Amino acid sequence: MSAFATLRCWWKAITHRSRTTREVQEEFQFHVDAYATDLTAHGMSPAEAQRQARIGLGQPDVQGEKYRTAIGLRAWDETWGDLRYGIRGLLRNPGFAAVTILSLALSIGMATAMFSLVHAVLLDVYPYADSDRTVNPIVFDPAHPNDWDWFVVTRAQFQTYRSSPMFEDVLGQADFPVQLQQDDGESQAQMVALTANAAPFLKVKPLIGRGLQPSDGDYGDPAPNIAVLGYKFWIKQFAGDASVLGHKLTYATGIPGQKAQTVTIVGVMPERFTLGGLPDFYIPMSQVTFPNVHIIAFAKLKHGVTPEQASVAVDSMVHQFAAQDKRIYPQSFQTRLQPLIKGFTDRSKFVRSLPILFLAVAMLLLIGCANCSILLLARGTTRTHEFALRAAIGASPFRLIRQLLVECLVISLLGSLLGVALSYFLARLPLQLANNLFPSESVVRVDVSVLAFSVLLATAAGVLFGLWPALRFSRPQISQTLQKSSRRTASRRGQASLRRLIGCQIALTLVLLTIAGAAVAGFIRLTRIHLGYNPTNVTAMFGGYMQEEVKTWAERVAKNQRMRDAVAAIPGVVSVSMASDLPPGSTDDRFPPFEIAGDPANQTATARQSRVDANFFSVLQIPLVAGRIWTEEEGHLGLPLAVVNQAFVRKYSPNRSILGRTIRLTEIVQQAVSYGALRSPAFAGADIQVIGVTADAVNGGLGRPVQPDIYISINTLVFGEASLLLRTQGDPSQYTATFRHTLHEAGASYIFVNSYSLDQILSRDETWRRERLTASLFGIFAAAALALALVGLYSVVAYLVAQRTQEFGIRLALGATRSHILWLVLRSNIGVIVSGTTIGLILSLLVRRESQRWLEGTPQSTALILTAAASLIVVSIIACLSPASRAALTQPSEVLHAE
Amino acid sequence: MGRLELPQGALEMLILKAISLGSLHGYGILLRIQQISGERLEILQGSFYTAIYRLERNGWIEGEWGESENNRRAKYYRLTAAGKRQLKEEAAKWSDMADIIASILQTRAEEI
Repeated sequence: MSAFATLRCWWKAITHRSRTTREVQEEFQFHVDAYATDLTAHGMSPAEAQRQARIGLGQPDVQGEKYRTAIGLRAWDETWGDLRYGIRGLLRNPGFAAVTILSLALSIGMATAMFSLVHAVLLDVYPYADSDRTVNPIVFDPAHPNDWDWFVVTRAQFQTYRSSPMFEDVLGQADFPVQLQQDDGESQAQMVALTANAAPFLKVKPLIGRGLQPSDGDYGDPAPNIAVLGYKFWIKQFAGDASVLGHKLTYATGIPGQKAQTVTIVGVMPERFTLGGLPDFYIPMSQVTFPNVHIIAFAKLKHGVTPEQASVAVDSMVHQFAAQDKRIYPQSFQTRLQPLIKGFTDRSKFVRSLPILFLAVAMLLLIGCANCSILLLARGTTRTHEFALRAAIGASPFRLIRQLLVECLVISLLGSLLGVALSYFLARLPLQLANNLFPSESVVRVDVSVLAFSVLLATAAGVLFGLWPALRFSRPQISQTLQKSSRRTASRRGQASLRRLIGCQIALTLVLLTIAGAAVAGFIRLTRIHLGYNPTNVTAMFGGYMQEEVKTWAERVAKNQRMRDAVAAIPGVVSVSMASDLPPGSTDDRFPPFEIAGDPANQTATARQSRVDANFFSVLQIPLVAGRIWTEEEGHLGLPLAVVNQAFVRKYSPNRSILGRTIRLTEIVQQAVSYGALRSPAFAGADIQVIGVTADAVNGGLGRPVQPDIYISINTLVFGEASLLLRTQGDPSQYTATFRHTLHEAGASYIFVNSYSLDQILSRDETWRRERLTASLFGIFAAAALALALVGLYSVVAYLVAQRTQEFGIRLALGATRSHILWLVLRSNIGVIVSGTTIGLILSLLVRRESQRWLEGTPQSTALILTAAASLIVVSIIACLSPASRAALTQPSEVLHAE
Repeated sequence: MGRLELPQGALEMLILKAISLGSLHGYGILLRIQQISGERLEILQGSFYTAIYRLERNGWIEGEWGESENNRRAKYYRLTAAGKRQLKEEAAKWSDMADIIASILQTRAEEI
């Protein structure tokens, strides 16, 4: 038997249904006629012969069905019939259809959104070829293996690295902040240079035009003077105009001795190609002509080589690199090669909260399914007459179950369709609210795997919520049901299962509400945090100059002073400060050790150390608590004077005044000098005298305790880079162009990197964004869960009320008051609401500890949980009130007449 | 002696055999089987067409519309290559089976 022949036969019978039926009937008719002719030939009258033939053979009209059964299409025909019947049923009850499909769409949509988010940011992030084999080298201190860092190599080191036998190929990337010179002025841009092997290494097709190609060359090759744009830059700067190809870009790196370069745009990369952290445009390495370039290396491991093997192999090589330039490597370290995604997963606290997000989505899905089950049960009970009739004329339980399940699948697949549409918008929300929490390659997209996930989920959900009602209705009590005059019969059993479902919904909703409440409370606490400084109208400007350019301490100090004076002279600038660290500070909590002279040696005494000038405290409006701040003159000379914060006093000198005491900063000074800092002539040793105490200001990251801090004058240890803090009159963003211009005039070699207002920095803070994101996500989940649960509750009460209308009519006719009827309806539901809430409370308390682990920084107060429970009870009762009051308003005369 | 009913699966084989002698329409197949069997077989009308439809679905026979003796449109069936193979196999199996059953039935007590 050939499967192909069978399929062809089925195909013909399905696509040409009426023709095959006609042919089968015609063939059979011929058979009947031929038989009758034979009978006539044997002496029977023609009419009698026809009759005999029909009696013997049967009716030609049923032959079509026999044919379809014989070739095995019966199940198909029946399912198709169920499907059409199901769709007709939904169209007949548009209200029921809308509510079920929407509740399912909501829960499937959320689940699909969660999946496509994880798909976009974790599972399938990188558009680059073999990204699972591509590794980044990082170095870490063996004592703190989780505290690792990327490192850069020089051109010569890159060549050495590239030659390792562990690698199939190595791609080099160098980043440059540049000034774009356009007709309407200058703007900042981020440029990335790639080695000539970029195209074969990454294998990403350009969106338009061409990408970088091997012939564009490496360092030392003739420069083709071209650029390939990043997608975001193309959209922002050129409004996605395809005619951009052939346009010129002029950029200046600001590196001394480097002239501005003009290049031709030859292509645009697709949205997901963001190698080098979302740069604006790419150039070939051949266009980077200056000798000192810092290269980040991406290596593709040979097939069969594990990252561990390769790490061991390159470790000694990297230690040789470190011997050449100690500044960028820790004192003792190991090398590790890690997959690209590790850079994200290791550092992302969002990834840590994924389990609880999945839990929330699963709960939401259960609530949505329970809702559908409730609605199906309610609707099914009104259809018992139909089921009994079907069973009476021969439908088997299996046949009834199949019909009901097909109806459920229609609902769930329609729900999944809507859900996918919804998920497309929902999944993009996290990337919009907190794009810096995810790899820049993350782009939410609806593709085959997302669709497959959603359809599978919908099928599973359809079976999950449909099977129970289907099993219940598959064995109707035929005689009882058919004998009843009324087609609406309430069964006690049905009510019990409805109540159970409602109870579960309420319990799960409460769990979601409490988690969401904690997340929102955490975020609110973060926004109301006492910063200890005033960020309003303060701008920070980041930049620096090449250390090689300014060789002596005096030169650096003079240069810094010139920049400060120039910016301070700008009209509208209230005060200017120069500082090494900016609030709210980094969350890194490993600080160098120090000693307080006269105290017993304390190995664990560590503190932040910030280099600031005398104006720092007035610019940020951090009040002085005791003593004084060094004068401008003292600061200028770089005298060894320090100011500490109150956290320092609390921790290290709680009982004795710190003023006038000496702090020894041996290790800090050593480290700074090895990193290229120049010491002031007045600061010979490592001893520094404390002359003042300031109030605490957030310095260890938002939402974290204030760390002990030692502020010393910026001129004691001068580095090449310096950030400026400016307090302005009014919105600082209006001054940006002036600042840049002024700095350019004042110090030709100053490389201006970026400027942000301190408010902007706060709103870009990772903790802030993450908490806002989790608060929004859980807020949405909880709102959806609440809406679903209330809709479910409302439908159940409305349905039960509709069933008992007759009873209420009789009660009212016999003298029951309307408030009595209202109480009658409410009473039976209050029990469900309260027991659901109780179970929810217990569950909430159980998950509380776990959720605290997953959602860092969320407060977990019992009061919050109790408030959520109380409000859930109140809104649930309100949801019952409307159908209950309808019951109370029953007109007994109408109801009894209708009977 | 009454007419014999066909065991399971035998009808299909007989239909294949009947067609192998030349293409026939449904009624013709029925007549030929009865004619060859000397009217000794009872073929149930209900199962006859079911068997034909199944054979056609399996790709063993192929129907084609033609004209009958009395100038009416009729569907004529002929054997396909797969059908010929199938007939050969079935016939071999059937005669093996008949031999075995016959030899079992002829066994006498002293032969064991």
